[in-house]
Amino acid sequence: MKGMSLKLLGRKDVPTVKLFATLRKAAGEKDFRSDARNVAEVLEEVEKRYGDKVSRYLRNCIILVNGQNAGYLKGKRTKLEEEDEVSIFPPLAGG
Amino acid sequence: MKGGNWGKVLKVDLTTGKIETEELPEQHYRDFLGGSGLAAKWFFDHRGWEADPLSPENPLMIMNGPLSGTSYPGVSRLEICARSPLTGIWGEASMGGHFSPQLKRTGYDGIIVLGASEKPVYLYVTDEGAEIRDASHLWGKDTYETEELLKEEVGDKRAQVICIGPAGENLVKYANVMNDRGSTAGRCGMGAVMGYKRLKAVVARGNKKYPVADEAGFKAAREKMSETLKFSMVAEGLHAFGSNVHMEYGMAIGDTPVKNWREAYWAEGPEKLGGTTVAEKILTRTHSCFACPIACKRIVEIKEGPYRMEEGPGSEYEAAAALGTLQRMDSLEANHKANELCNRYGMDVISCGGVIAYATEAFEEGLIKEEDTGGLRLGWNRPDVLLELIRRIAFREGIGDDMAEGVRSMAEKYGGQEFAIHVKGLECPMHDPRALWGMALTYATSIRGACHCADSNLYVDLGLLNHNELGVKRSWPYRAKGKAAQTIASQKKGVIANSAVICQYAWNASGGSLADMAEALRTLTGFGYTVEELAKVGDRIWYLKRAIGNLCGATREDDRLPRRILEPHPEGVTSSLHLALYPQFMSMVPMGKMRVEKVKDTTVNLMKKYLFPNMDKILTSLNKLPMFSLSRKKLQQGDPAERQRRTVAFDEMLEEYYRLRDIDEKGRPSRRRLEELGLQDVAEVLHG
Repeated sequence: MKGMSLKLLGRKDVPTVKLFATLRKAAGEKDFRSDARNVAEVLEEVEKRYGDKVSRYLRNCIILVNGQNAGYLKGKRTKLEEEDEVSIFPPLAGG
Repeated sequence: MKGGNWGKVLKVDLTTGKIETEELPEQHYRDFLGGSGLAAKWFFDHRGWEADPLSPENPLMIMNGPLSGTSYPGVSRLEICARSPLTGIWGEASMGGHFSPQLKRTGYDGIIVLGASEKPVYLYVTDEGAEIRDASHLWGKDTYETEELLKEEVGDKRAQVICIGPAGENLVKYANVMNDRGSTAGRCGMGAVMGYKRLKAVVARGNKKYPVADEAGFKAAREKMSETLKFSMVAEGLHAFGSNVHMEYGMAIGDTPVKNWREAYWAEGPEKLGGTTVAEKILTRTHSCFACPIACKRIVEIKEGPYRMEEGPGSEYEAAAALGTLQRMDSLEANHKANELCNRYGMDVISCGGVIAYATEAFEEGLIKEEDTGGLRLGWNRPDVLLELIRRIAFREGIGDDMAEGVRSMAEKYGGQEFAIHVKGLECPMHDPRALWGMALTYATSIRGACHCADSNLYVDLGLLNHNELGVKRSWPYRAKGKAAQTIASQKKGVIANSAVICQYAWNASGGSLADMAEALRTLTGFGYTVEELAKVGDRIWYLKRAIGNLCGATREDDRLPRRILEPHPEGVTSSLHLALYPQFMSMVPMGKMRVEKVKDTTVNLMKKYLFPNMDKILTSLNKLPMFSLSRKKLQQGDPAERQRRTVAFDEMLEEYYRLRDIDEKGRPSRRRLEELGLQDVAEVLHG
């Protein structure tokens, strides 16, 4: 698995980070497994993995942890459990 | 007129063949802007509510606004208004495309069509005036063919055509009006009004330069908007994936309805039908409406298979959901074919999808039987049946004749009111109020019935807009508190968008600033609009339309939502009530934001960690947990307190809304409020 850190090897299940819409397009990847312990670490990791090309999308992004808006949980301090799913959406709307 | 408008409309009587120009007072433009606002004013002044929707007297109003067709970004829009044959109340539909700039350049702000022709006709409008021409040879043609043939016939490829297809000719109550193949004035059955009048199409071609009050000022306002859009991530998403970019997020938060609104989560749905999948699989290019820098339209091609389609407009979000997830259908190709059929026949995809989903459930429930459908077995994820039903509706064949009347009429005949999802007779668009509580008020109080375009609540609840400049705070997506004030502010802006007239995507993607809008309109029209005056204009138009609704017979009783879309989901993954274990937490979480399997895992982890640290083996499977199963079963049968907590607090929000809007017990705006807005004539008619 691309970019998997050593810490991951010792863990059975780790959170999955899913990228959507223009963020996915900029990153060139749909999802990745992460050893992040909270949302802040996920964001750091995304920025580290993909560099400047994704930074602007992360500024006002919407983050769901298992379908719940992290903003209504503990924001960036929201802790992640094994098998959690973190979905990151750039600001978007349609309809 | 100093700018933006011409000060006159074209009035055509199809019964007598008389064509005349009607000048409108300047004050009407200042007070009601244009578009659907000015149309409502004309409709009221001419007592339009007294006409039956399908009668020669019902005026069909095809209106530009001051911004329409100018060089400001996102102003391709045109408003088509009349009393709706689907709902019986005020109807309006907005369309993009390329018609409005051509109409603008003919020197008219709109066309008001009265009467009804004996034979099919079309209207040809140019700088020189208008002409009623025979359209017998076009009757029966679909909208794509009609547009092409008419451009050839008038010998000018730059001429623009709005037209109806077979659905409009056959008076399908939710027939639409089409332009540019993929742009539609979709809702409320404006195509049926045209069909009744035997008006197949309107062709416009103009060369006049519209007046601008302050050229330099308007140019600066335009450049500011263009610059903002250039850096808008919402605009970028719309450009990259179309309006259907919403489906992935919509499904994640439970906003996108599944299986006739029975379920709120279908993981495979967006993977099969979403905007990113379209871009990967069938997109050939993007397309834009007139002078739009976003270009959210999708052009697709399906090269082979049973749903092959030539290169043409693809599904937008509403079509992808209404003719996709709502039918729980997972074929991208069939969804696009269904969208193409609706476009060609000239039918609103939202209403059409809503009617078919209702019929499928009614068939499942045994209310509609095989003898009613002529042997067709309705069911979920049955693309061929979906396509066949679309055809039957458009031509009113067999069960299609009943389905062409809309979901309210269907439920009256076959039963199943509880799953006939409409408000005031208009089928609900594809946003679930259980995920975004603001949409409950939006649907219930929208003038034309269930509508997501009459205000900007969707964008506000999604966290993309605020109403700070109106002194209104954004409320939590799933809290009653503050929703009424938020909705009223959203409606002011929505009304202005549909009267100015501007695309809501473009305006909202740029931040939806009323100050920017006031600046654009001030420099364009020369009227000294401020944010405060514009907000008052928004109110004035809204109250006028509300009064028209009352005059058409609407009362408080009509501001209701089907229970199904207010109550927690009875089935699907969001139905399980594990979060009842955490009531405080639950009150913060909207229905759609739950992912039961994940919550289950978290719950088990917590129990393992704190309550039963030594019972790891026993807790490996939830099914072996009697207490958990018991709890689950009990809650699934319905825990009143828990259900209450998770039910959209609709009545509370609505009462607050009535109080703030000053709506009386009959659902009418108070005399005092109407008079404050300068609507004494309306107060006189409404209150005597």
